[in-house]
Order: sequence, then structure tokens, then C-alpha cells
Amino acid sequence: MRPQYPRRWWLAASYASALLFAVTLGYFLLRIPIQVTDSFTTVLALAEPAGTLIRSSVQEGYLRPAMWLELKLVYELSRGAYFDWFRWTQVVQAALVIASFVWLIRPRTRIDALVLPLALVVLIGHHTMAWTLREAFPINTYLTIVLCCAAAANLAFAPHRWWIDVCAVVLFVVAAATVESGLLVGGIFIVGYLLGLRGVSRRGLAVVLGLIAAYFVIRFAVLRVGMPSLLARDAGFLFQRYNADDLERLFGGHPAIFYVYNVAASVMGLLFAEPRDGVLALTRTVRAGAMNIPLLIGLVSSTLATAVIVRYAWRRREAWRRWQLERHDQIVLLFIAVLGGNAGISYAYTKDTIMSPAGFLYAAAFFVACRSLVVDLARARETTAGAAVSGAAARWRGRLVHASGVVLLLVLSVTWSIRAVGLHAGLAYTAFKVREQWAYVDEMIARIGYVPVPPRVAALKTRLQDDAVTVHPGQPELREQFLTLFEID
Amino acid sequence: MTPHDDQEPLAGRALVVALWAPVCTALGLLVWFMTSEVAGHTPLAYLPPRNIAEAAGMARAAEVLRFLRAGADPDAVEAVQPEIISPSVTRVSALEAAIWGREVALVRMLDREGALQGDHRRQYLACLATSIGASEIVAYLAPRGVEACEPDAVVRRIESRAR
Repeated sequence: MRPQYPRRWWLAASYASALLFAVTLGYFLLRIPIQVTDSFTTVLALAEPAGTLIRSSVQEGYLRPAMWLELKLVYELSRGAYFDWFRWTQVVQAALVIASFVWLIRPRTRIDALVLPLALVVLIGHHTMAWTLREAFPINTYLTIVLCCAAAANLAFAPHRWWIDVCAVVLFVVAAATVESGLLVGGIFIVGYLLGLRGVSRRGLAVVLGLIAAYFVIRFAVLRVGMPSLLARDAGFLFQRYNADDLERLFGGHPAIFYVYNVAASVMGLLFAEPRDGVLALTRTVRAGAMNIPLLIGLVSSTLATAVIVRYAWRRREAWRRWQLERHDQIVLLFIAVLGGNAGISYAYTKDTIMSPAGFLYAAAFFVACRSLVVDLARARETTAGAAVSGAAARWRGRLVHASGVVLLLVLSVTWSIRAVGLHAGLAYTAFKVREQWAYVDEMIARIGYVPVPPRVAALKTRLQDDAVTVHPGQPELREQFLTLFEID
Repeated sequence: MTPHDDQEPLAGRALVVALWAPVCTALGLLVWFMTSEVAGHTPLAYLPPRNIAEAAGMARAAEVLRFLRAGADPDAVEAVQPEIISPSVTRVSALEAAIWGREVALVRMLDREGALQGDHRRQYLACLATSIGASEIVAYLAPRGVEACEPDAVVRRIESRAR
């Protein structure tokens, strides 16, 4: 039966789903207080002048002055209303990521409108996005980079205007000075240009290339910041996480093996949801004889979505070989390039969150691939039903293809919807855990050495603890039986 | 290829349902959950503690702190749902509930908040901790040992409140 509703109704419903997801996400984000770990000491430090913060942001292995400036800006604007300003910053960032996503894929047709909500749950439910939302320090740096990369992709796809070059340069400077993975913004402009996108002009790109060179000169020759010590952090390898000493013992003489593993784990993890944070978590549970259902849902949903993208790439291979790229091809190819770059940046330390820019473009590539599949299935259905098909065998074959496609889409839709709801359940769990941590914050303050507690520290503690416990009291914990399908921890 | 709408085939009902039904269900669930909470209901969640003793019995430290800040007395005996501690222990104070839950961190937090003042009270609570075998709490409350403690009597006394 043909849908009778006009296209604009479908588009309106589709955009409404994006708006509703932004609202529900915002609501769940606002249930979380400013977290204790990684945030309390940061907010304390933000009382220092901006110059001091910038100087202290240049440490061995790290060059992140813009991150501190962003934090300082929100801190000063807040005038003590830390919860409101820092939590709303994350809400606005999340909403802008969704808006950038919709802007990038530009739903125009009825089938676009049909596919958009599924692409949105892929974006929201993807495991690389989870901890950009469930954590904040008190601004989540990785979410900032996702937003910068999303903006970069939109600038690259836009028709050229002089101010787009200016925005591109500013965006690159902000992203690269925020955290190392911000360099991906430059990569997006370069790859976009190579793919034929001219939102950023040749001149603008030349400036960005110059800034990339300047970044490395400043980092390695001027400030001599270097790279983080390669085996200095806990990291996952195969079936478990290892601490720095273990890693030194395992790879001390041959770190290249560890680096190759990290790059491969980053790519595989993004495409198949296994491994997670470098650990073959699902495989481990299978070996232990207690398969983890949420991880299995992650594997099935990601593998099927990746298969849909691979199908699209296969069908477009001839056009790609001839370099006859259309907007949708450019989105998929941009995703592939960013996936490589993002995984490369993770060579020394892999973590799902670091792959979130590639996760954003993965959802966009999925939209493109899924709409292509839906168009083909709809066409097959029409052809099968039409007079052109003669013979029962061909008709049955067409119906079988259509039915298989519908089942595939249904499984995709169900599993990704579970993951998207699971993210919200994870946010609710985080809200509960963070509030509990605030009740015990005195023990943490003592552990980090504030004994006796200086008045400034005590005042901030009281302020943030009151915010978490009394001003914005928590909701009851969700019942365990409703959480069995979701990745909570 | 990026077809225009008029070039595209129309998706059938099965495709529309496969693509939209699960996502709309998920979105509907989230919106329902959100609006319910805003309206003051807490669907899919455990019942919230009604008083500070229930909060302590459920080991909800943040709620305990919230009740304390609102002026609740941690030493006052309150009614507690039978499923929180045990069917025979339904009238306890927050301090007793924390000990019954073997929550040493919660006991320490209550101590920091000034709820454990007085040697007599510490000895009584240490005796309760002894009676249920919460050795970590005993060590915290009475590092030099528990004096004049009749563990069974303490438990009987608390259980008798329920009758």
C-alpha cells in the first residue's frame, strides 16, 4: 500500500523525531550533577587567572590551552551557578551535534524522512558517543571535538563563501588547541577538498595546512611538549586491561605491536562494537560462558549497519573508480577517511570516546547507505508488483529480496533503538552514581591531600554538593529488571 | 545517486513499519518516561525512600544527606518498608539502618555530619554492629572494643518495635 501522506508531512515527522531526541537527551543530561571525579579539582583550578591556566595547560605530552579557555569562559559566565552553566553547555553541545547531523544529511525526500529517525538512533546509540554524554570534566572535551568535526564537515559541504574560510581557520585552531584529536578537523577539510568539496576554498585550505604545520612546529620544536608517554596509561589489550607496568613488561621492547593493535582495535570497535576500549569484552564473556546480551546487541547492530555501508560502497565502486562522486558518496568516503585518521590518532591509546568523530560520520554514512537500500527495496517491490515482471519465479525472487530487506531493516531498527534507549538508561544510572559520589566527597577531598580543608575548597564543595543533593535532587534508581538489555556500566 | 522525490519509488507499509515502529516506540518510551517524571511519577524505578531511615537502609547516601540537610533526625525511629531490611525490622533509626545494611562508608558519612555524637550512642551502635557481624563498622565505631554489649538483646529490642 502506498503512503498517501504528502512528503512535507513525512519530513515534519522526521524533523520532529530529531527535536524530540534532542529534548529527551537534554532532559536526561540535566539529571546528572557536575561529577566529582575530573570536575571538582578542575573547577577549583578555574579560579586561577586565564594566563596561569594556559601556562599550566602546556605540560609534557599535552598541549590543550583552548580546553582550559573554554572551561574558564563558562566558569566566568556562570558567576557561581556552576550546575546551570556547565550542564547546559553539555545539553547545548548535544543538541548542536544532532542539528549538525540533520544539516549534514539534509533530508529532502520521503525516503530520506523515513530513514532519518533510524540514522538518529545510530548516532545517539553508538557506543563511541556514550561517554561523550555520560561524562563531563565539567565540559566533555570529546563532545567538543565531535561538534567541531560536525561543523567542519558541514563547512566543507557548504557552497563557498569567504566567511566559510574564516570559520574553517578559527574552527581548526580551536579544535587543535582543545585536544589532540581536534587535528581531525584539519583532516576533514583536506579530505573534503580532495573529494571535490569546495566549501573551504583552496586559499582557506592553504591556511589550514599552514596551521597544521605550525601546530607541529610549536608542539615539538618551540614548546617541546612532545607526545604522551606511550606506555604511561592503563590500556586494553585482547581480553583485559593492563596497567602501565604490565604494558611495559608486555611491549617495552616492541611497542609497535601495541600500536598496530590499538589502530586495528579502534577500527574494529567502531565498525563492529567489538573490541570495546581495546578489550574483546563480548568475546571474553562468551569464553567465560556468560554471554553479555547488551554487548551482543551492540555487535549485531553495528555489524549489520556496517554491512549496509559496505553494500553501498560495493554498489558505488564503479562511480568511485571513475571519481564521479555525488554528495552521498562524499559523505561515505569522508567517513572512511576520518575512520582511518581517528584510528591513527589512537595508536598509543585506544578508547571508544576518542573515536566519537568517526562515530558521528559513521551514522551519516549509515544514513546514506540505508536510504540507498530502502530505495532499492522499494523499487524491487514496485517492479515485482508491476506488469514488467513475467514469471512466478522472478516474482517470488523479488518478494524474497524485499522480505529479507524488510527483516534486515527491522532488526537494525530494533537493535539500534534498544541502544539509543540504553544510552538514556546509562545517563540515568550515571546521575544516580554521581549523586552518591557527592555524598562521599569528603573522603575524596581527604585522599587528594586537602587536610585540613582550605576554606576555598570547603566553600566549593558545599556549593557543588548542595547542587547535587538538595538543589537538584535525584530520581529513584531504575529497577534492574528493566536494564538487562542496556549497557549500563 | 541522490534521486529527487518524484524519481523515488514509494516505500510499502512493511518498510515503513520496519523503519519507524521500533524507533517511534523507543522515542515514545523516552518521552513518556520524561513527562511522567516531570509530573512527579517515577516509572520503572524503585520506590523513593519516604524518610531518612529508609534512605539509609537502601544505602542511598545522597538521599540520606538530603534528608539531613532538610532537618531530619538520624536518631529518630522511623517506619521502614519490610523489604528494605527485613520483615522483622520495620522500625529503626537511620543510624541503625545504615549498620544493618553493613554500610561502613555511610556510617562514616553520618559521623562526619555529626550524627554519632556521644560515647553511649557509639557503643550502642557498635553493639548492634557486633550482633550482625559487621566487624568493619565495629572497628570504626569502637576501635578499643565494645563495652557491656548484649548483642541478642539489642536485636530483640529493635525487632520488638515492629510488634
